Amino acid sequence: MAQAMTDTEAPPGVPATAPPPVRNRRRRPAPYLLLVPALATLLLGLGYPLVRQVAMSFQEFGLAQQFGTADPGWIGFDNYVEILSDPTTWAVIARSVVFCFAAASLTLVIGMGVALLMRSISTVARLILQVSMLAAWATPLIASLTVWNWLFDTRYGVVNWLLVKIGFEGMEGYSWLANPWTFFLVAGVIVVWMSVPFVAFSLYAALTQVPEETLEAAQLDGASRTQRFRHIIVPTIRPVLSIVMLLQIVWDLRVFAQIKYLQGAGGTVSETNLLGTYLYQLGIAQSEYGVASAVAMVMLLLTLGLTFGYVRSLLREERAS
Amino acid sequence: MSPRRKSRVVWSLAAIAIGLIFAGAGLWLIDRPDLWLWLITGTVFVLTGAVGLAIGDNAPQISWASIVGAELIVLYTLTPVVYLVSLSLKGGNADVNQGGFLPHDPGFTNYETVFEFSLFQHALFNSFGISIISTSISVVLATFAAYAVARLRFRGKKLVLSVALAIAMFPVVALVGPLFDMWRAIGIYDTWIGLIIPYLSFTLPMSIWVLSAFFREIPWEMEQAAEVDGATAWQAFRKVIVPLAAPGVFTAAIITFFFAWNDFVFGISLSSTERSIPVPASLAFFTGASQFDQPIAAIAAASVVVTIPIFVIVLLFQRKIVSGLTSGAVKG
Repeated sequence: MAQAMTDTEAPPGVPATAPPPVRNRRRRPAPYLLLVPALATLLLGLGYPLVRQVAMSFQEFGLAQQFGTADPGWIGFDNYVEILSDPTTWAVIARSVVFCFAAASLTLVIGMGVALLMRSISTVARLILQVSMLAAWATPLIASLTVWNWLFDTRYGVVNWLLVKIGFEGMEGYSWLANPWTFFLVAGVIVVWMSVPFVAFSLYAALTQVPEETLEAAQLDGASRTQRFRHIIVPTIRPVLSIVMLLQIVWDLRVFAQIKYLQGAGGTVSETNLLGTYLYQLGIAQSEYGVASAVAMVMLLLTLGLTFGYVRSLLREERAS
Repeated sequence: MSPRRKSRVVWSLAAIAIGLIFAGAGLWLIDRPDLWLWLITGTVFVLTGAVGLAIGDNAPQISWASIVGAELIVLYTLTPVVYLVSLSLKGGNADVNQGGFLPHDPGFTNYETVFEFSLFQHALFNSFGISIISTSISVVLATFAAYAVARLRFRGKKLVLSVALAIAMFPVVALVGPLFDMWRAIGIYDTWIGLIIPYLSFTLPMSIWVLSAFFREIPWEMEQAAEVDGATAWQAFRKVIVPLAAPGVFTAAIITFFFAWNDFVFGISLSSTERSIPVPASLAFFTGASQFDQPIAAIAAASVVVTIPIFVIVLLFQRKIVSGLTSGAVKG
């Protein structure tokens, strides 16, 4: 595939002696030609759904409109007013944001710990750590949900069994999913479990770029471990750290399958909805397509708002390079 | 042998001995119901000792606390995986309901059940086909786009990157409904192509980001340098640029493959029959041997079957993935 790339853009026969900008002046359409296939695919897969989402969020759109027995009428911001004046929505938003930040920061802390560990332990130990990370990463979503749910099962779960064995008799038959607090504890454990490997590998990769000599020099000059971490390691890996953080916030805010699965396994839907499942409940289960689209738009705006700082710094880097 | 090293070796051997005593006691008292706890404790001790022995002398800063931390993390990441395998080996409903970590009546019956289930066979075939096709197309398209973004200067580059990022942020669930309607209307509901298109749409933005960060770091002048040294243009590209670009392309491919192989939401909404249903969605249709049987052990067996190919790929290319992330993730 890399070969095809060059065939279209930079014919190997033309030695690129001039700096890139000059070369581009010669063949202006090339960048756009290279972008067209990807953009066309995106348009095909997402164009219509996205436009329709935005349109529907301003329309009266329910089952009747879906089956064509009534015309969708334009109702301006009514859907937005409806969801934003509903306290349920605010509860869901608050829950989602708290869950997102808790899970994302926990993931980053553990991931950072693992990355630092991988750097300082011997090859054999590192290999063991990496393989176990990869095992967690490679397990398909639905498989890991099944097994985690079963680990926390009320009657047959290993967690309850173990807790009873080590002396917490009260945990006999404890239903983790019935109580919203422990529901989110379980959900958090699962989400973090799935996300740590990616974060750990990315950060470990970044750590390999930290100059060893600088660290040694700082140590000789009397910098403590914390100081070295804060003033040398963190600045060096900042680009990776911010993109990983950004992705983690985006992913944890729109978490869906994990919550949906756990709700099905015994959670109280109304008390455990996050934005993803709230959207699903409105759109698919209650056929309130217009309202659900408004929720999706609010969710997108919320994501953009929460990640604004990161996005801006990423784009600034882009301009710099 | 330095005193420091000596004490480390002594302590490590002591840890291994303690661990063996624990595990031995656990095994010896095999009728104890908490055998599991004994074995785990023993394993942690033995591992701590082993890590202590294996540590290189050039890494003197490692503390026992961080070794134990590492073990806890390994325990956290591996327990569910091991338990999945253990569940899949349990023999029948009675064994599953008896609880406990290890199977009481181990056997391969669940695997037989899974492979006799014809939907699963079709699903395996579908998943392989769909994932491989999506990955190939996505990587080619992302390579084109990322090359343009990273190496060429043109108007609207920032717009392209911002749009890609915004798409990556859009809630997946919200798009399922409109896609469902649209696929029904144009007749590609429940087909391979109907799943490939959404997989491409959701992995392309991410791949373009990763690859463009990666391509920016490649020293493209080396291509010219090789030509100056007498290599033909093709040789220069083949021998210099391809090896440098390969890890990044590989990382993008892995990310795409994981997404397609693991997807549940699209699978369950945009396919319904053996024509196109992928494995994760097909697991939802699993039933036990009888109506009252929990299909949990069968699902576990199917999950193990699904995990194996990914695990093999990942193990084979472990080093490449890490090096791909290394060079791709770090800019400047």
